[in-house]
Formats: sequence, structure tokens, C-alpha cells
Amino acid sequence: MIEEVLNVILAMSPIFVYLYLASLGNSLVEKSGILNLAIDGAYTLGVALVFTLLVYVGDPTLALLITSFLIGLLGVLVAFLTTKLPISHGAVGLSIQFIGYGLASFLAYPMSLRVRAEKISLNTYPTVPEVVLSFLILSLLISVLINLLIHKTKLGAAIRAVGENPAGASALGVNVLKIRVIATFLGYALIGSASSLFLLLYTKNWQEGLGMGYGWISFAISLSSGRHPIVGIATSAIFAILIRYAYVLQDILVGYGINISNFIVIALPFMAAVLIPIAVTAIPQLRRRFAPPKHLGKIFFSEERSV
Amino acid sequence: MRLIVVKRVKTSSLHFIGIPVLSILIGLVISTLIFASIGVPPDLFIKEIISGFQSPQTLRYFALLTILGVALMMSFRASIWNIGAEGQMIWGMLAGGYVALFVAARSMYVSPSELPSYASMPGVEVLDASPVKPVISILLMDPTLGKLLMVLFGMLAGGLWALIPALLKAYLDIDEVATTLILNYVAYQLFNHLVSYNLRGLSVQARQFFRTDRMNSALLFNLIPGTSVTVQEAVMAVIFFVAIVLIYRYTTIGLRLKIIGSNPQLLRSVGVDERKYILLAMFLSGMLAGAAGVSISANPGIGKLEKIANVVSPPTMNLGYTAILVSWLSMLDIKLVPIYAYVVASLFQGSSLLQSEINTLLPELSLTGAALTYVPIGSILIVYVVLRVFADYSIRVRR
Repeated sequence: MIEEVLNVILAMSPIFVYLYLASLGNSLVEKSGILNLAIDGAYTLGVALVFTLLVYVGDPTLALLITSFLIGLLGVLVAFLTTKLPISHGAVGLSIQFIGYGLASFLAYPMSLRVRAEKISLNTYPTVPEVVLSFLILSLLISVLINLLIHKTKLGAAIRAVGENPAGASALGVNVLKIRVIATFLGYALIGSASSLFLLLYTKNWQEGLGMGYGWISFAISLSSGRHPIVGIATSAIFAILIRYAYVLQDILVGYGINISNFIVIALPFMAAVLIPIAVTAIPQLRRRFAPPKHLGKIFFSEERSV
Repeated sequence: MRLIVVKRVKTSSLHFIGIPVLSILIGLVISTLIFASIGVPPDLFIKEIISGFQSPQTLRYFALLTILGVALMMSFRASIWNIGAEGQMIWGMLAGGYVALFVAARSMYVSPSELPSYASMPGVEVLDASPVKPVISILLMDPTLGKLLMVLFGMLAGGLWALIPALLKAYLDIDEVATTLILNYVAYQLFNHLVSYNLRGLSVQARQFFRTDRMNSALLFNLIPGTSVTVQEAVMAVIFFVAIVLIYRYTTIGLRLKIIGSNPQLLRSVGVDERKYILLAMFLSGMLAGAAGVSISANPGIGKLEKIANVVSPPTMNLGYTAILVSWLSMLDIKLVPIYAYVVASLFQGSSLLQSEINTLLPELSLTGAALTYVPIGSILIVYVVLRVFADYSIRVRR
């Protein structure tokens, strides 16, 4: 029995890690009041970046760290544009998403041809229990740390204040831009690590369009867990099990005479990403508890201000 | 000395023209630099973009982007960010395809000996002349009626698909950008499922690959000679454009659709249920996108539905995303939509010309279609988003 549970945990862990870290990053960004619609572009770009870097530097951990840092910088750009200028968060997010898609293909496609032509073997993480479990434990550790950061520290209080009421926080002497830059840098760095692990621990290779849509699944996880680091663990686990065992479900359903194709299996996590937030918002208690920060996605702009 | 941002009292018309034009120019410069960094000669880039403006193929994208630009403009005006035009087009293709393949015409097996007598009948088309199992397509109704039904069902399907995020937005306040985008991926996979199983054709090619039969050629839209644009899509673009202009100008519904974006409290205070108008805006938007989907799959150059091999290159050609550019650049003013639809269509065509040029001249660069469309789209959008600030705000120097 224990062995079976352990096997299930081992099998879903890589998926859990790449979904959860990105949703955690998204929660952190959105806690600071920035509507994070660039997440899918950042995710897709992160997958492409880590692949390209892996060929250059050879070491997966180094590639992961550089990718996280670079994606973190992208987050700083988002924070700067949405805080300093009175522009729509949605518009900035979508534009950066498209640039992310384009650059991902621009960077990684030539590299993927080279890898195939020169038969370069990619030095990704082996999917052995020790490695998988250490990443699982590491991500749970990060979740505890981020939870402490948000709910117990002064910086966390500032992040929440900036998300709920930036003008008020600013009047109390909080530097809104500084706090948002810190929150988005950390958040995007987490999204960058998640997308790196998506490639390094899960797909192990790159193809055109890899990662597209997974940022949105993480976005939905974060949304339906009320942007809470600990609740997100449960929601991510549900999605991870769904993705890992969808083919088993397909087999079981065949036994009942229901045939669902592989395409439906691929679509399942996306359908869940629409359905689970509905389920959460339809329950009034959860809806109140999981309410987004009051100033999420709203333009923070006091009539006259210095640039 | 400091720089300060001050809100303008009134938007000047100079900005209305200047901002989109500047965004396109700066965005193109940025993309030129990005591509030049790996060795695409800037003059080649510029040459192909310019030739996009004169290419006959551009007219097709022009018609489609006008329809889609109007569709998105309508929802954006109502402050609903419909990024799901891709999915709505996919459903338009499916519904239109279903009508063309199973209602207005039908494909069937005939015995090889009867094939010649069938082939001479009017409205019958041989899809597969294999000596073992020949397949024909029989027209079951007047082709004009058939085409009309294709468009109507396509519009209905697109509109209904758009209602899902609209209902979530109106009644549960779930952000529609995320849901419309996620539903695009669902639509792609459902398309694959339906095309590979339920709509799968009978002919050898359809059985070998995951695709439907070819649509009966009487049901395909008619090309305007010398171009790749069809009469039907051009007519639809004109009808939709005029209809929406008239709705906006002369009807209460149009007025309310505009107000909901700028002042929803006003609507509520006069006793209008604004949620119904959210649904209406999305339904209309999805309907037009569905019509665009039908025109893509019923183009004689395509005429069938085929499994999507990679979500980067769906049959919608990513026009649903490209159209966001059209409606933003036109500053959500419907009169400007056709102008920017033409500009963006030319850029779109220019980038695909550039891709084929690079593939032949500089194959070692190996740039994909995704890179060549998304990088310019994204660069122009981000510049536009930043410059847009200057329409409502001015930056002054204070000592």
C-alpha cells in the first residue's frame, strides 16, 4: 500500500513541480496587484531559453539558474511598465506573451535543428527517485518559505498592501515600484524555474510550440487556489494527477464503453483549468476567502506624478 | 528638474493617427534588429515587408482581418477582452465543415462499375477514383443555400463558443482573458478529435491522414479572379462592417454596447442589466469570428479540415491573435478598422514572403513562421501599448 502511494507520488512529482512552481510565482506576482497575463509567454520563452542554454553551458542546474534570472528580469519589465505608466495590465501582458512566443521559436528552433543534426545528447536531469523527490521536497520547501514571506514578514505585508491598496500603501511610505519589482522578480524567477524543470525533468527535449498553454494551466491553478501558497499545493496535485493518469482514465472509460480519444486526453487539463475556477467561485465561502487582491489589474496612477 | 505625467483634458486627433503609425514603424525597427542579430539582412526584411503591401495574397488576409478586427473591436469596446477568436474560428470551421460535408452534400462509396454513370450526373463529384472503393460527393441541396447554411451554422457555433467565457465573466466574474485563451487550446484539441473521428472522410487520402473529405466544389467559395480572396468573404467583410457601423450609430443596443465599456454604472443606474450586454457583445464577436473560420476552410485553396499537427500552426493561421493588433491600432474606432486591417494584412503577408525568401536564400538561419509572425506582432503591440499613454496623458518637465 505504502509502496503504491509512493509510486503515485513519484510518477506525478515532475508534473507537480513544473505546475506548482509557476502557479506559486503567479500568486506572488498577483499578490502585488499586477494582473499576470504575460505568464504563458514567459513560460514558453523559459522552456526555449533553458533548452538553448543547456546546449551552451552543458550543466542543467546552471541553465536553470540563468533561465530563472532572465525570466525574472522579464518580470521586472512587466512591473515597471504597469506601475510607472498608466497602461492596462492586460495589454502589457498580452504583448509580452506574443513576444515570448516569437522569441521562443526564434531562439530554440535553430538550436533544435543543430541538436538533431549533430546528435548532441542533452544533459537533462535523470528521472530517478532521488532526483525527483529532491525537487519535490525543494518545491515544498519553497512553498513554505514563500508562505512565510507573504504572511509573516514586513516585505510580505508590503506586497499585500500594494496589491490591495497601492495609493494607501504609498501614502504610508511604501515604495510601490520597489515592492512590485521585488515581487515580480521572485515570481517570474519561479515561473522561469518551473518552465526549466518542464524541459529538464519532464519532456527532456524541445519541439516547436513546447510549453504553450502550460502557463495558463498554472495561472488557473493559482486562481483557483486563491493565490495561497499552501492551498496551491493541493490544487497542483489534482492537476498533476489528472495529467499523469489521464491515459489510465481513458483505459478505464473504455471498459464502460466510453471512448475518449488522445486529443480529449490532451484537452483535459485545459478543460479542468476552466472548470475548477468555476467550481471555486460558485461556492460563496470559498469565493469570499479566495477573493483576488482588490487592486489586481487596476491602473495605479495618481493624477500627477514623476516618471 | 523632474518629468511629470499629466492627464490630458482631451485626446487630440494628431495622436489618433500618430500613435498607431509610430508604433508600427518602431515595432518594425525592433523586429528588424532582432532578426538582424542572427543574420537576416535588414534590407531583405524591409523589402519583403514592402512587397507585402502589393501582393495579391494580401487581399485575402485583408478581408479576413477586417471581419476579425470588427469582431474584436466590438468586444474590446465593451471592455471584454476576447482573445478567443482562434477558438471561435475553429468552431466556425467545424460547423461550416459539418454542413458542407454531411448536410448540403454527402460523400459515399459507390461500386467501381457504377462510377462512370455517377460521374456524369450533375452535382456529383468524384473524390477518390480508386478501382476498389471509389468515393463520390453528392450535392443534396441548392449550392447557394448550402453556402448560406455553412456561414449561418459557422456563425452560430462561433457565437455559442464565445458565450462560455461571456457567461463566466458576466455571472461569476472570472477573468475572460484567461478563459478565452485556455478555451482556444480546448477548441484545437476538440477540432482534432472531431476531424479525426466524427468528421473523418471516406476517401483514401482522408483515411490515410486524419482529415475530412474534400468539400463538394459547388459548395466552395468563389475566388475573385487573379486573387486568393473569395467573393463571399469580401461580401461578408463589407456587410459586417456596414451593419456594425449602423448598429453603433442608430440603435440603442449599439449605444449600450459602447457605454458598457466606458461607464457600466450608467447602464446599471438606468435599469439595464449590463450582464446581458456582456453576453451580447461576446456572442456577436464570436459570430463574426465563426464566419471568418468558415471562409478560411471553404476557400478553394483549402476545402477540407485537417488535424492540427502543432498548436503553433493551426488552420486559423493565428489570425485570431493577429486581429488583436488590428483592433488596437485602430484605437477601437470601427472606421479605422479596414485601414489597419490592410496594414496588418500586408505585414502578415510580408512576413510569410520573408519566410519563404529566407528558406531559399539563407536556409541555415532556419526561422519558423511562428518567430516571423509573433516577434513583429509582439513588438508592435508593446510599443503601441506604451505610446498609447500619450493619447491620454502628456509628459511635462517641471523645474
